[in-house]
Amino acid sequence: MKVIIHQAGKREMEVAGGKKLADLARELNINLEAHLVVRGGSILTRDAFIGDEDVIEVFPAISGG
Amino acid sequence: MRCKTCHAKATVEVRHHNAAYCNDCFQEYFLKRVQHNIRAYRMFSPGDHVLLVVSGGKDSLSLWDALIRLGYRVTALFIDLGIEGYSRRSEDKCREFAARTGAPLQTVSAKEIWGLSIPEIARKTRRIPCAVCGRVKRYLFNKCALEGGFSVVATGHNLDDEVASLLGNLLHWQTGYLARQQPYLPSTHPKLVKKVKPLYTLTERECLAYALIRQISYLPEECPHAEGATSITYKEALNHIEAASPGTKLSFLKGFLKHKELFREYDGDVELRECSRCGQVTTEKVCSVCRLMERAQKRDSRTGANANPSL
Ligand code: SF4
Ligand SMILES: [Zn+2]
Ligand SMILES: [Zn+2]
Repeated sequence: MKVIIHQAGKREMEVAGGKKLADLARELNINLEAHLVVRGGSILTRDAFIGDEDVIEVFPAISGG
Repeated sequence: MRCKTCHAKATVEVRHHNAAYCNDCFQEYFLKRVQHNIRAYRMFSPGDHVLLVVSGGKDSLSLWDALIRLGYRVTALFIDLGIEGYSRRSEDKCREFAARTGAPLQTVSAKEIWGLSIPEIARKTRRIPCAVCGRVKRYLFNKCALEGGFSVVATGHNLDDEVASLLGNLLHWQTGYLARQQPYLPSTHPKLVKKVKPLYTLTERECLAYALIRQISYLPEECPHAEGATSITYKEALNHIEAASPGTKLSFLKGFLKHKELFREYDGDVELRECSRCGQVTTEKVCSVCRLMERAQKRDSRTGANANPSL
Protein backbone atom coordinates (compact mmCIF):
# COMPACT_ATOMS: atom_id res chain seq x y z
CA MET A 1 0.00 0.00 0.00
CA LYS A 2 1.00 3.57 -0.59
CA VAL A 3 1.14 6.30 2.06
CA ILE A 4 1.19 9.94 0.95
CA ILE A 5 2.19 12.35 3.68
CA HIS A 6 1.27 15.98 3.13
CA GLN A 7 3.98 17.50 5.25
CA ALA A 8 6.52 20.06 4.05
CA GLY A 9 5.61 19.32 0.47
CA LYS A 10 4.67 15.72 -0.17
CA ARG A 11 6.30 12.49 0.89
CA GLU A 12 5.38 9.06 -0.38
CA MET A 13 6.24 5.63 0.90
CA GLU A 14 5.34 2.05 0.29
CA VAL A 15 4.48 -0.12 3.30
CA ALA A 16 2.79 -3.44 3.89
CA GLY A 17 -0.97 -3.20 4.31
CA GLY A 18 -3.43 -5.67 5.75
CA LYS A 19 -3.88 -4.04 9.13
CA LYS A 20 -5.96 -1.57 11.06
CA LEU A 21 -5.20 2.12 10.84
CA ALA A 22 -4.37 2.24 14.56
CA ASP A 23 -1.61 -0.36 14.06
CA LEU A 24 -0.31 1.27 10.91
CA ALA A 25 -0.16 4.67 12.64
CA ARG A 26 1.80 3.18 15.53
CA GLU A 27 4.20 1.58 13.07
CA LEU A 28 4.75 4.86 11.21
CA ASN A 29 4.87 6.88 14.42
CA ILE A 30 1.89 9.01 13.42
CA ASN A 31 -0.14 10.41 16.31
CA LEU A 32 -3.80 10.14 15.31
CA GLU A 33 -4.65 13.01 17.67
CA ALA A 34 -2.56 15.30 15.49
CA HIS A 35 -3.28 13.86 12.02
CA LEU A 36 -6.15 12.80 9.83
CA VAL A 37 -5.90 9.87 7.46
CA VAL A 38 -7.94 9.86 4.27
CA ARG A 39 -8.69 7.11 1.76
CA GLY A 40 -10.56 7.82 -1.45
CA GLY A 41 -11.69 11.22 -0.19
CA SER A 42 -13.07 9.83 3.05
CA ILE A 43 -11.61 10.35 6.53
CA LEU A 44 -10.85 7.10 8.36
CA THR A 45 -11.45 6.08 11.95
CA ARG A 46 -8.80 4.13 13.88
CA ASP A 47 -10.48 0.78 13.34
CA ALA A 48 -10.54 1.10 9.52
CA PHE A 49 -8.87 -1.85 7.81
CA ILE A 50 -6.19 -0.83 5.32
CA GLY A 51 -5.76 -3.25 2.44
CA ASP A 52 -2.54 -3.99 0.61
CA GLU A 53 -3.69 -2.21 -2.54
CA ASP A 54 -4.92 0.93 -0.75
CA VAL A 55 -3.59 4.45 -1.15
CA ILE A 56 -3.92 6.58 1.96
CA GLU A 57 -3.13 10.23 2.59
CA VAL A 58 -1.95 11.64 5.90
CA PHE A 59 -2.78 15.27 6.75
CA PRO A 60 -1.04 16.90 9.70
CA ALA A 61 -3.37 19.03 11.83
CA ILE A 62 -0.80 20.98 13.77
CA SER A 63 0.47 24.35 12.69
CA GLY A 64 2.67 26.88 14.41
CA GLY A 65 2.57 30.64 14.80
CA MET B 1 -17.02 2.51 14.08
CA ARG B 2 -20.55 3.88 13.80
CA CYS B 3 -21.83 7.45 13.88
CA LYS B 4 -23.07 8.34 17.35
CA THR B 5 -26.03 10.23 15.91
CA CYS B 6 -27.28 8.31 12.87
CA HIS B 7 -25.38 4.99 13.11
CA ALA B 8 -24.05 5.25 9.57
CA LYS B 9 -20.37 4.42 9.04
CA ALA B 10 -18.31 6.94 10.99
CA THR B 11 -15.50 9.01 9.50
CA VAL B 12 -14.32 11.34 12.26
CA GLU B 13 -13.64 9.98 15.69
CA VAL B 14 -13.78 12.52 18.52
CA ARG B 15 -12.21 10.61 21.37
CA HIS B 16 -12.47 13.33 23.98
CA HIS B 17 -16.24 13.17 23.67
CA ASN B 18 -16.19 9.40 23.35
CA ALA B 19 -17.88 9.76 19.99
CA ALA B 20 -17.50 9.29 16.25
CA TYR B 21 -19.53 10.88 13.49
CA CYS B 22 -20.30 10.51 9.80
CA ASN B 23 -19.50 13.49 7.57
CA ASP B 24 -22.94 15.08 7.92
CA CYS B 25 -23.27 14.62 11.66
CA PHE B 26 -19.70 15.82 12.22
CA GLN B 27 -20.56 19.12 10.54
CA GLU B 28 -23.65 19.38 12.73
CA TYR B 29 -21.51 18.71 15.79
CA PHE B 30 -18.90 21.29 14.73
CA LEU B 31 -21.48 24.01 14.07
CA LYS B 32 -23.20 23.25 17.37
CA ARG B 33 -19.93 23.60 19.30
CA VAL B 34 -19.17 26.93 17.62
CA GLN B 35 -22.67 28.20 18.31
CA HIS B 36 -22.46 27.03 21.90
CA ASN B 37 -19.15 28.86 22.47
CA ILE B 38 -20.50 32.07 20.97
CA ARG B 39 -23.58 31.96 23.18
CA ALA B 40 -21.89 30.77 26.37
CA TYR B 41 -19.56 33.76 26.36
CA ARG B 42 -22.03 36.10 24.65
CA MET B 43 -19.30 36.73 22.09
CA PHE B 44 -21.74 38.35 19.66
CA SER B 45 -25.37 38.14 18.55
CA PRO B 46 -26.93 37.67 15.12
CA GLY B 47 -27.33 41.43 14.67
CA ASP B 48 -23.67 42.26 15.38
CA HIS B 49 -21.28 42.91 12.57
CA VAL B 50 -18.27 40.67 13.17
CA LEU B 51 -14.81 41.25 11.75
CA LEU B 52 -13.09 37.88 11.34
CA VAL B 53 -9.31 37.80 10.93
CA VAL B 54 -8.43 35.22 8.25
CA SER B 55 -5.07 33.80 7.23
CA GLY B 56 -6.01 31.33 4.49
CA GLY B 57 -5.25 28.41 6.85
CA LYS B 58 -7.77 25.71 7.74
CA ASP B 59 -8.81 27.17 11.10
CA SER B 60 -9.82 30.66 10.05
CA LEU B 61 -11.42 29.47 6.80
CA SER B 62 -13.39 26.79 8.65
CA LEU B 63 -14.58 29.40 11.13
CA TRP B 64 -15.51 31.74 8.30
CA ASP B 65 -17.56 28.95 6.69
CA ALA B 66 -19.20 28.04 10.01
CA LEU B 67 -20.16 31.63 10.87
CA ILE B 68 -21.75 32.10 7.46
CA ARG B 69 -23.72 28.86 7.83
CA LEU B 70 -24.84 29.89 11.31
CA GLY B 71 -26.24 33.08 9.80
CA TYR B 72 -23.92 35.63 11.38
CA ARG B 73 -23.02 38.91 9.72
CA VAL B 74 -19.34 38.52 9.11
CA THR B 75 -16.72 40.39 7.13
CA ALA B 76 -13.28 38.80 6.83
CA LEU B 77 -10.05 40.73 7.20
CA PHE B 78 -6.81 39.59 5.63
CA ILE B 79 -3.69 41.21 7.04
CA ASP B 80 -0.90 41.31 4.48
CA LEU B 81 2.31 40.97 6.48
CA GLY B 82 4.52 41.11 3.42
CA ILE B 83 6.16 37.76 4.08
CA GLU B 84 7.92 36.59 0.95
CA GLY B 85 5.67 34.30 -1.10
CA TYR B 86 3.68 33.12 1.89
CA SER B 87 1.55 36.27 2.24
CA ARG B 88 0.59 36.22 -1.43
CA ARG B 89 -0.45 32.56 -1.31
CA SER B 90 -2.40 33.15 1.93
CA GLU B 91 -4.26 36.05 0.38
CA ASP B 92 -5.07 33.99 -2.71
CA LYS B 93 -6.75 31.33 -0.55
CA CYS B 94 -8.84 33.97 1.23
CA ARG B 95 -9.86 35.54 -2.06
CA GLU B 96 -10.74 32.14 -3.48
CA PHE B 97 -13.01 31.45 -0.51
CA ALA B 98 -14.63 34.89 -0.72
CA ALA B 99 -15.24 34.47 -4.45
CA ARG B 100 -16.74 31.03 -3.96
CA THR B 101 -19.09 32.07 -1.18
CA GLY B 102 -19.71 35.70 -2.11
CA ALA B 103 -18.67 36.67 1.43
CA PRO B 104 -17.11 40.12 2.01
CA LEU B 105 -13.34 40.33 2.46
CA GLN B 106 -11.19 43.33 3.34
CA THR B 107 -7.44 43.49 3.19
CA VAL B 108 -4.92 45.69 4.95
CA SER B 109 -1.21 45.78 4.23
CA ALA B 110 1.64 46.69 6.57
CA LYS B 111 3.72 47.77 3.60
CA GLU B 112 1.03 50.15 2.38
CA ILE B 113 0.63 51.77 5.78
CA TRP B 114 4.25 52.03 6.91
CA GLY B 115 6.18 51.36 3.74
CA LEU B 116 7.73 48.30 5.36
CA SER B 117 6.85 44.61 5.54
CA ILE B 118 6.93 42.68 8.85
CA PRO B 119 10.30 41.01 8.08
CA GLU B 120 11.75 44.43 7.16
CA ILE B 121 10.47 46.03 10.37
CA ALA B 122 11.88 43.10 12.35
CA ARG B 123 15.28 43.38 10.70
CA LYS B 124 15.52 47.13 11.14
CA THR B 125 14.52 47.01 14.80
CA ARG B 126 16.52 43.83 15.47
CA ARG B 127 13.55 41.86 16.70
CA ILE B 128 12.26 38.43 15.82
CA PRO B 129 9.52 38.60 13.17
CA CYS B 130 6.88 36.87 15.33
CA ALA B 131 7.23 39.46 18.11
CA VAL B 132 6.69 42.29 15.62
CA CYS B 133 4.00 40.37 13.78
CA GLY B 134 1.77 39.64 16.77
CA ARG B 135 1.81 43.23 17.92
CA VAL B 136 1.19 44.68 14.46
CA LYS B 137 -1.64 42.24 13.75
CA ARG B 138 -3.46 43.16 16.98
CA TYR B 139 -2.94 46.84 16.20
CA LEU B 140 -4.25 46.51 12.65
CA PHE B 141 -7.33 44.45 13.37
CA ASN B 142 -8.36 46.83 16.12
CA LYS B 143 -7.82 49.80 13.82
CA CYS B 144 -9.76 48.18 10.96
CA ALA B 145 -12.59 47.21 13.30
CA LEU B 146 -12.90 50.75 14.64
CA GLU B 147 -12.76 52.35 11.22
CA GLY B 148 -15.31 49.92 9.81
CA GLY B 149 -17.69 50.23 12.77
CA PHE B 150 -17.34 46.59 13.88
CA SER B 151 -18.07 45.89 17.53
CA VAL B 152 -16.15 42.65 17.75
CA VAL B 153 -13.11 40.94 16.23
CA ALA B 154 -13.04 37.13 15.98
CA THR B 155 -9.94 35.02 15.40
CA GLY B 156 -9.52 31.36 14.48
CA HIS B 157 -7.60 30.32 17.60
CA ASN B 158 -8.45 26.72 18.42
CA LEU B 159 -8.10 24.45 21.47
CA ASP B 160 -4.54 23.45 20.54
CA ASP B 161 -3.49 27.11 20.26
CA GLU B 162 -5.06 27.87 23.62
CA VAL B 163 -3.58 24.93 25.53
CA ALA B 164 -0.16 25.47 23.93
CA SER B 165 -0.08 29.06 25.12
CA LEU B 166 -1.47 28.05 28.51
CA LEU B 167 1.32 25.49 28.90
CA GLY B 168 3.92 28.01 27.76
CA ASN B 169 2.60 30.65 30.14
CA LEU B 170 2.66 28.18 33.03
CA LEU B 171 6.12 26.82 32.24
CA HIS B 172 7.51 30.33 32.33
CA TRP B 173 5.09 31.63 34.99
CA GLN B 174 3.90 34.48 32.82
CA THR B 175 1.35 35.52 35.41
CA GLY B 176 0.29 38.65 33.55
CA TYR B 177 -0.51 36.63 30.43
CA LEU B 178 -2.28 34.00 32.52
CA ALA B 179 -4.48 36.69 34.02
CA ARG B 180 -5.49 37.83 30.55
CA GLN B 181 -5.73 34.56 28.60
CA GLN B 182 -9.37 33.86 27.80
CA PRO B 183 -11.66 33.15 24.86
CA TYR B 184 -13.44 36.45 25.37
CA LEU B 185 -11.65 39.75 25.97
CA PRO B 186 -14.16 42.50 26.65
CA SER B 187 -13.63 46.02 25.45
CA THR B 188 -12.07 48.07 28.25
CA HIS B 189 -11.94 51.35 26.33
CA PRO B 190 -14.28 52.87 23.70
CA LYS B 191 -11.49 52.56 21.12
CA LEU B 192 -10.67 48.94 21.93
CA VAL B 193 -13.00 46.40 20.34
CA LYS B 194 -13.75 43.12 22.07
CA LYS B 195 -11.88 40.03 20.90
CA VAL B 196 -13.33 36.54 20.75
CA LYS B 197 -12.21 33.01 19.85
CA PRO B 198 -15.25 30.92 18.88
CA LEU B 199 -13.11 27.82 18.15
CA TYR B 200 -11.47 27.70 21.57
CA THR B 201 -12.88 24.27 22.47
CA LEU B 202 -12.37 22.69 19.05
CA THR B 203 -9.11 20.89 18.32
CA GLU B 204 -6.95 21.67 15.35
CA ARG B 205 -7.72 18.17 14.11
CA GLU B 206 -11.46 18.90 14.24
CA CYS B 207 -10.92 22.13 12.27
CA LEU B 208 -8.95 20.14 9.70
CA ALA B 209 -11.72 17.52 9.48
CA TYR B 210 -14.29 20.26 8.94
CA ALA B 211 -12.17 21.89 6.22
CA LEU B 212 -11.64 18.56 4.44
CA ILE B 213 -15.29 17.55 4.61
CA ARG B 214 -16.43 20.99 3.41
CA GLN B 215 -13.79 20.83 0.65
CA ILE B 216 -12.42 24.19 1.69
CA SER B 217 -9.29 24.98 -0.25
CA TYR B 218 -6.90 26.16 2.47
CA LEU B 219 -3.19 26.87 2.50
CA PRO B 220 -1.47 23.89 4.14
CA GLU B 221 1.86 25.64 4.13
CA GLU B 222 3.28 27.26 7.26
CA CYS B 223 4.65 30.76 7.58
CA PRO B 224 8.44 30.36 7.14
CA HIS B 225 8.96 32.03 10.52
CA ALA B 226 6.87 29.43 12.32
CA GLU B 227 9.53 26.79 11.85
CA GLY B 228 10.87 25.59 15.15
CA ALA B 229 8.35 27.70 17.07
CA THR B 230 8.08 26.52 20.67
CA SER B 231 4.30 26.50 20.30
CA ILE B 232 4.67 23.50 17.96
CA THR B 233 6.76 21.66 20.56
CA TYR B 234 4.08 22.30 23.16
CA LYS B 235 1.33 21.17 20.81
CA GLU B 236 3.16 17.93 20.05
CA ALA B 237 3.77 17.24 23.72
CA LEU B 238 0.14 17.90 24.56
CA ASN B 239 -1.03 15.63 21.75
CA HIS B 240 1.12 12.80 23.11
CA ILE B 241 -0.62 13.17 26.43
CA GLU B 242 -3.98 13.48 24.65
CA ALA B 243 -3.40 10.21 22.77
CA ALA B 244 -2.72 8.41 26.06
CA SER B 245 -5.50 10.17 27.90
CA PRO B 246 -8.20 11.64 25.65
CA GLY B 247 -9.84 14.77 27.00
CA THR B 248 -6.74 16.12 28.73
CA LYS B 249 -6.43 19.22 26.53
CA LEU B 250 -10.02 20.26 26.99
CA SER B 251 -10.03 19.68 30.74
CA PHE B 252 -6.69 21.48 31.07
CA LEU B 253 -8.18 24.58 29.46
CA LYS B 254 -11.60 24.34 31.10
CA GLY B 255 -10.03 23.86 34.51
CA PHE B 256 -7.83 26.88 33.97
CA LEU B 257 -10.80 29.03 32.94
CA LYS B 258 -12.67 27.84 36.01
CA HIS B 259 -9.79 28.80 38.30
CA LYS B 260 -8.83 31.98 36.49
CA GLU B 261 -9.55 34.05 39.59
CA LEU B 262 -6.28 32.72 41.00
CA PHE B 263 -4.38 34.94 38.60
CA ARG B 264 -6.59 37.99 38.85
CA GLU B 265 -4.23 39.93 41.08
CA TYR B 266 -1.59 39.82 38.34
CA ASP B 267 -3.76 41.69 35.90
CA GLY B 268 -2.18 45.03 36.70
CA ASP B 269 -4.60 47.93 36.76
CA VAL B 270 -3.29 50.00 33.90
CA GLU B 271 -4.47 53.36 32.81
CA LEU B 272 -5.50 53.39 29.18
CA ARG B 273 -5.16 56.45 27.00
CA GLU B 274 -4.93 57.35 23.35
CA CYS B 275 -1.63 57.43 21.50
CA SER B 276 -0.65 61.02 20.77
CA ARG B 277 0.39 60.04 17.22
CA CYS B 278 -2.16 57.54 15.94
CA GLY B 279 -4.99 57.69 18.46
CA GLN B 280 -4.98 53.95 19.19
CA VAL B 281 -5.26 52.82 22.80
CA THR B 282 -2.06 52.47 24.78
CA THR B 283 -0.74 52.73 28.33
CA GLU B 284 1.94 55.22 27.36
CA LYS B 285 2.06 58.56 25.60
CA VAL B 286 3.03 57.04 22.27
CA CYS B 287 1.87 53.50 21.52
CA SER B 288 4.32 50.63 21.04
CA VAL B 289 3.56 50.28 17.34
CA CYS B 290 4.20 53.97 16.62
CA ARG B 291 7.48 53.73 18.55
CA LEU B 292 8.44 50.59 16.68
CA MET B 293 7.71 52.17 13.31
CA GLU B 294 9.59 55.31 14.23
CA ARG B 295 12.68 53.24 14.98
CA ALA B 296 12.29 51.17 11.82
CA GLN B 297 11.79 54.22 9.62
CA LYS B 298 14.69 56.07 11.22
CA ARG B 299 17.00 53.22 10.38
CA ASP B 300 15.43 53.25 6.98
CA SER B 301 16.35 56.86 6.29
CA ARG B 302 19.86 56.42 7.74
CA THR B 303 20.56 53.51 5.47
CA GLY B 304 18.67 55.19 2.63
CA ALA B 305 15.10 54.06 2.14
CA ASN B 306 14.77 51.22 -0.32
CA ALA B 307 18.44 51.62 -1.27
CA ASN B 308 18.89 48.02 -0.36
CA PRO B 309 15.53 46.42 0.29
CA SER B 310 17.07 43.03 1.04
CA LEU B 311 19.13 44.43 3.92
S1 SF4 C 1 4.84 32.58 12.33
FE1 SF4 C 1 5.39 34.56 13.21
S2 SF4 C 1 5.77 35.88 11.46
FE2 SF4 C 1 4.65 34.11 10.70
S3 SF4 C 1 2.51 34.74 10.74
FE3 SF4 C 1 2.91 33.69 12.68
S4 SF4 C 1 3.49 35.32 14.11
FE4 SF4 C 1 3.62 36.17 12.03
ZN1 LIG D 1 -24.30 10.44 11.25
ZN1 LIG E 1 0.30 55.01 17.97
